[in-house]
Amino acid sequence: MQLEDLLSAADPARQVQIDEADSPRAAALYRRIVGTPPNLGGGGVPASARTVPGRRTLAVIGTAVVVAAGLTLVTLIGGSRGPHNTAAGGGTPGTSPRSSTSPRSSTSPSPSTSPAQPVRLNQAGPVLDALATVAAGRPPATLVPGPGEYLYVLDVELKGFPPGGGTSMPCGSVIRQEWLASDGSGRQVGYSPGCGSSENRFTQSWGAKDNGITFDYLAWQGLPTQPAAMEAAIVNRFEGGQANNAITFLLATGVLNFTAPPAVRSALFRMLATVPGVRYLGKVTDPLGRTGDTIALIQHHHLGDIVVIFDPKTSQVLDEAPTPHGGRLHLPRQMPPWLAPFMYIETGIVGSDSATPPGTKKLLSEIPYRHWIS
Amino acid sequence: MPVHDASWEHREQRFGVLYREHYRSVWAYAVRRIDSQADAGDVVADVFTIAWRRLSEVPDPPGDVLWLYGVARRVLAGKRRSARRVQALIARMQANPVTASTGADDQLMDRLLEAVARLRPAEREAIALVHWEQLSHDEAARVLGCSANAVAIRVHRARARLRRALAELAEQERAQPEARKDHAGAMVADSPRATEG
Repeated sequence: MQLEDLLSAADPARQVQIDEADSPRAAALYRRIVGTPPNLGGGGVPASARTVPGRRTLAVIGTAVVVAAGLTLVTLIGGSRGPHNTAAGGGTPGTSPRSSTSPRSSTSPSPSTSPAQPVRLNQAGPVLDALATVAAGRPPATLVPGPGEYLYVLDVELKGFPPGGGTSMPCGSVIRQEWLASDGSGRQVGYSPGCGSSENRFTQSWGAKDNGITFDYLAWQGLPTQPAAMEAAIVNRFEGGQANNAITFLLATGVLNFTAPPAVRSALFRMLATVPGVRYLGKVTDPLGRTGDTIALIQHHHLGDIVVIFDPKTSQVLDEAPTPHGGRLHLPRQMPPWLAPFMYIETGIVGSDSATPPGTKKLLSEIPYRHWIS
Repeated sequence: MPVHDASWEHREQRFGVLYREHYRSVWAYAVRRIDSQADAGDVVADVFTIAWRRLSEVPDPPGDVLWLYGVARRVLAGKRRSARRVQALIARMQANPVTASTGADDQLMDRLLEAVARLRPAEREAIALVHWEQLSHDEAARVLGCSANAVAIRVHRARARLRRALAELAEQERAQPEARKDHAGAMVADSPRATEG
């Protein structure tokens, strides 16, 4: 087959179902933009049916930090799991949990060839146990926003230099701040020093219902603290009853880990020790000079691996990086240049969607981003 | 009190045509360049919001779709800045279950898409515009803000790199047919965890 034919056959747009312009979703978007129902047949719309379009900023789901990732993650998982479900912002959380005492069934996309059971299938157990112990001894979670409060997250996404050339981002590293309310609404501002002056700052905001879910931190506070029960709850609640190692891993190292109370966080680490494909890759020092324990989910397919670095003293996430390495991951002690991590720098609860925790301005001024631009 | 006049009617009518004609094209553009369907939806929303606000700047057909692609390109640059690749990973996993990618053709496509993803950004965009959006070199140049000659060079280089990548794949197939059949199994065997569980 000729390259041209192969390229046509591989066109990603042919692998998904794209809505027509008169589909309900397209019509809803039109209404959000213009402020009126669409008349895509080309005719006019009665003036009485319209309102003046406000200076509406489309509320889009924030996509930056781990908590927002959880929002979208839950949204994505919440809808139908059919191959063509593209309901951005739509769908409802799965509500028909399957009774299962062994959620990690052989149908999960696990690299393991053996049927999964809630036993330790990976060799990261000792490190995860240590993290679980540290997590259990931490103060009660303080990162749960109450009414009128926001969870603040400051992170830096570094530009990476993947094997084979190119860079992970066109404009280099990004410094990002995000404010998340308890209902899931939020705001994000970012600064990318390497971009041209007209593009180096960006802002996104989104509403509570834009995710199609009610974002309820409190619900997570009540997750089971026995690892097997927790795993079953996660699989049933977030994975439609069919275990998915990557989603379990991302939840356990991401959104849940950020906001759950000590007992739940501790159980999350112990649960991770039962997930196939989870490995300990040793200690790594990130560009900020922070050294942590590297836990990775090795997936053995083209989607690559996920690396998360935990602070062994606090059990908190320091860095996170998806990688394209497909199971051939060997990290040197110093973080290699091809790994483009999200470095989590500061979190806290604040009283408005523009406030920052004490000391953040100083932190921001100290971030050596100029060294990370090119 | 809302005020609607002829210019408003005209504006909305024009936008409606633009939306109807190119909604799918912009969606396709986005899904070809971003892994997450949700993010692709955000890109489409952003592109048409910008088009609505700057409708007077949108050229008449056939240049209108090129203008939209240009906007989408800039929106995507911002989206990549903020996109969390983990989410994209999840979205791809949902769209492309691992079990669906076991055939030789699927592996070939996966390999090709991997090779496309590893192209230099300028080359990747050029070959995508020409092969997937099916633009001429002149049209792609308008989207990219460069010369048609530059597009031609980028496409030529990209094709050469892709051919090399596919040749390497063929070579690997000849050398290690069994390993390719069960790549995952081989990887597990290499791992210290091969004996675990």
